[in-house]
Amino acid sequence: MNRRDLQAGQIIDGFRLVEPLESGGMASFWRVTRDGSGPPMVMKIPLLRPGEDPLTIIGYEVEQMILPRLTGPHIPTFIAAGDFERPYIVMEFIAGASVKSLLARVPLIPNEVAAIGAKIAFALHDIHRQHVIHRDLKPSNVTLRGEDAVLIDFGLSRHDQLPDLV
Amino acid sequence: MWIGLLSDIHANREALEATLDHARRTGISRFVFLGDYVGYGADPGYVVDTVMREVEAGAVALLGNHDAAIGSGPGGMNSIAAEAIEWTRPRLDSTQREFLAQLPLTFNDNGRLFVHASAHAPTHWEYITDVPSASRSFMATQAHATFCGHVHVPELFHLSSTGKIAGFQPVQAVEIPLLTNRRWLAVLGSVGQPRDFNPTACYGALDTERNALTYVRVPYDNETAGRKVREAGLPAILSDRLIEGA
Repeated sequence: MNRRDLQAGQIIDGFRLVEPLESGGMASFWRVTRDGSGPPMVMKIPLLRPGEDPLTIIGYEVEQMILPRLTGPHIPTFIAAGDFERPYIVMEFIAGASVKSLLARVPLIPNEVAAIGAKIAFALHDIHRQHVIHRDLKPSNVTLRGEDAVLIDFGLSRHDQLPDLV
Repeated sequence: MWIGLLSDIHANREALEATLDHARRTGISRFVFLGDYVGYGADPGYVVDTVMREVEAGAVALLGNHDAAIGSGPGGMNSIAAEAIEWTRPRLDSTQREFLAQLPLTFNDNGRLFVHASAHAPTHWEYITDVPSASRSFMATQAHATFCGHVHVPELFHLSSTGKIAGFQPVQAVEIPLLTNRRWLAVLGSVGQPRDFNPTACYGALDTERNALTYVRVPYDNETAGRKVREAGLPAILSDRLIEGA
């Protein structure tokens, strides 16, 4: 699927594209709805163009395999995934501020930094207890939602009871 | 639909009964048997009769090298396997021998290939134990997923869209999604003579709708199976292996 082909109002497997969100280098993100209702959702669509870095497709496979296994407040809830012909992952929309956005007002006071660090540590511990290590932890992959840090982008992750696809 | 994948039963009545019972209680009603019903164990007639009954009820059964040796002789086998074949032969009646003789080598179903040893030259009975042997099997078929036995040690190989092959030791009872973006080669463990240092019977549970495979382990009365092997006068190592799982 090409980024240019996507338009608001388009329907993919029952999900209506509402508006584009900030895109990463390897995927585009859209707010989506199903039947015009339900919780806020986001569709992640990997950019699989000819000559594209093969890590893009492998990252999509890894996330498709691991995200449905994870539960709890520290990960976006998995909702649906597409197939090889039309790859996408639909997950819960996380309303909150990316830790990356905090970089605009550094330096932060030590107590605030420590509090963010503690939230991230709890989130990591939670996925570790579910047999997963993240392996791509950085400010843009952590969203602060209330008292919780939510980890996103499991494309480089490992699950110790599932095959290593990388 | 759930399909039970049973390989390398090797005349082990206790392991087969426990495995079929476990699979049925799990909701599995369709079976593919991946060969080697006889050899090593003390109950070849019972196992062949059971598999024949399952085939009449709709199951698929494939030929293994020990089954082939009943008709063609144990040429090329090690001395212990050959001794077990010679012990087994007179203990099968003509119906059982004819059943083994007519078994097919492969079964294709909806992008899935089932074979006893390897998709590459199935009659050569190659063991898939590493990336080179897995690679030969991958290259010999277009199937999205191949299911085989023969090795008695469970392993799952996968071939990525970039051509990389890797192996994985499956964790029992953890469902593995066979993602459509890559190809898969599942070496199932053995029902009747496991060799991965785990003496419990091993079979595969394949969910064809969700395209996911689970390696399942079933404890069974291996003490009785081992005692019957000793009492039959078969080589003692064949009894020891059932206790040690190796």
